[in-house]
Amino acid sequence: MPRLPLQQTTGKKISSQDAPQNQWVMITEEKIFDNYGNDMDNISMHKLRHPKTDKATFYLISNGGQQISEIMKFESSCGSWLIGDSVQKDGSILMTTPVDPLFLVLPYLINAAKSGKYMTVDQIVHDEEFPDVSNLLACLDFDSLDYVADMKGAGDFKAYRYNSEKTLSWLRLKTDNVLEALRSSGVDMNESGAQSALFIRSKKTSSGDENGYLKYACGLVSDYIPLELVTSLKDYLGITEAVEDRSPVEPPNKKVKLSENQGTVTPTEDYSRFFGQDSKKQTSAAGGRQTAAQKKLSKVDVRGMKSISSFFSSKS
Amino acid sequence: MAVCIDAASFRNTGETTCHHLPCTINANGKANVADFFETAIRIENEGLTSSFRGRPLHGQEVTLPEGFIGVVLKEKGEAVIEEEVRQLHVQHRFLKFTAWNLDKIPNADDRLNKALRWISIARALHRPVDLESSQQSVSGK
Repeated sequence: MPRLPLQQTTGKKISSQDAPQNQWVMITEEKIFDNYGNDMDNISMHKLRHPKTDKATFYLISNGGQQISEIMKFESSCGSWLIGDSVQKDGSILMTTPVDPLFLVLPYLINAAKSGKYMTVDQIVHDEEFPDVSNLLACLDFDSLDYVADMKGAGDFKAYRYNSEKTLSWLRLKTDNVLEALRSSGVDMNESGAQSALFIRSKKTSSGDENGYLKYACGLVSDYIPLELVTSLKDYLGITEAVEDRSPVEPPNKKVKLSENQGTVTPTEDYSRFFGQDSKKQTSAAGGRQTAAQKKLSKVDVRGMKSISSFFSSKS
Repeated sequence: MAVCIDAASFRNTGETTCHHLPCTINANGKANVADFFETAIRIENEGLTSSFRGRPLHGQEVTLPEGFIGVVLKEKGEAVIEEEVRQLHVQHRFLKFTAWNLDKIPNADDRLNKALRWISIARALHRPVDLESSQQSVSGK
């Protein structure tokens, strides 16, 4: 009972709402709970370097240490869960989806190539700041390094060196796969769909639609690669900036004023609005008070490069 | 500092009814959901309706994509030392939940639904690419 006097003096009851959160709702692949031996610790979360942001990010490693998934946090401004016969104040959802470990290895490969030497994987993927990176190697199919690197040696001793040409063609295949998924999921991703929050619909060509899809797919892939590679990938895929692209072809579109409530401008089926929320928010915020730097930023065309991670906010 | 999920605890859980409410309830713990919330649920033409504290709610049952499952993870005890491994246990599981909107008919545009749609796109993005087609495109498309 040593706490009691404290409660009385502050006059504040210490209730459950003041306690740190100790319960979370997570949506994950069912197979991570499959029995892989008797090791109770076969599902674990580790801090690794995010390939795009370079920041510490939690990843989930499961299935006998062979599968790595990213963890996204999905939350709205308000919300709570009712779970069985209980209430959980935190209304967020953690969602895990498998991630290609090659994306996480890529920054290390690029970095190691600066020496120009061939190195073994252990030498390349070494990070004093993130010792858990050793867990990443167990998830990696070493043969897949062939997509992004040149290899020397044989058998147990193989050394690798980053190959940018190979990497870009690998990223092109990734983009193609995303394109296919976007199309088959029925996402309305033509230029007007992607940009209807900003422009009134006018005549669109089918090539314009293609470009919209491609830019969107490229944007999703770009969330997993270092920034300097994004520029090369856009060039490689022949993605043109929308602003330069459209003005000679069409008469200037009338710009719709972005209202505070974007829902009134965007169509109900606009899938892009969801993923692109953050980038749009920046645009609308820029409409108000702007510093010189913000103005400069707002000129950067990000419309085709919707970032999914921005929507899910911080990865924890 | 690592965080571990006790996979064995999953086997001892059953499916639980879950509701996602469009408001923050400033509490954690037991609540008589069955008597005071679920009794108010009605099935109408446009879907489910209910009310919470007198506010009209519109609900939609959301089934998780194939191969996915929802779990409620609970941390027992607190890691006192930074280096200590934190243990999470599976308390509940669910394959579907009810998402409630305040006074708005749920549709495919709802943010929760859209988050789930990311799963199929993520699958396409992260599955290994085909090696042969990769080499083809290197050697001249």
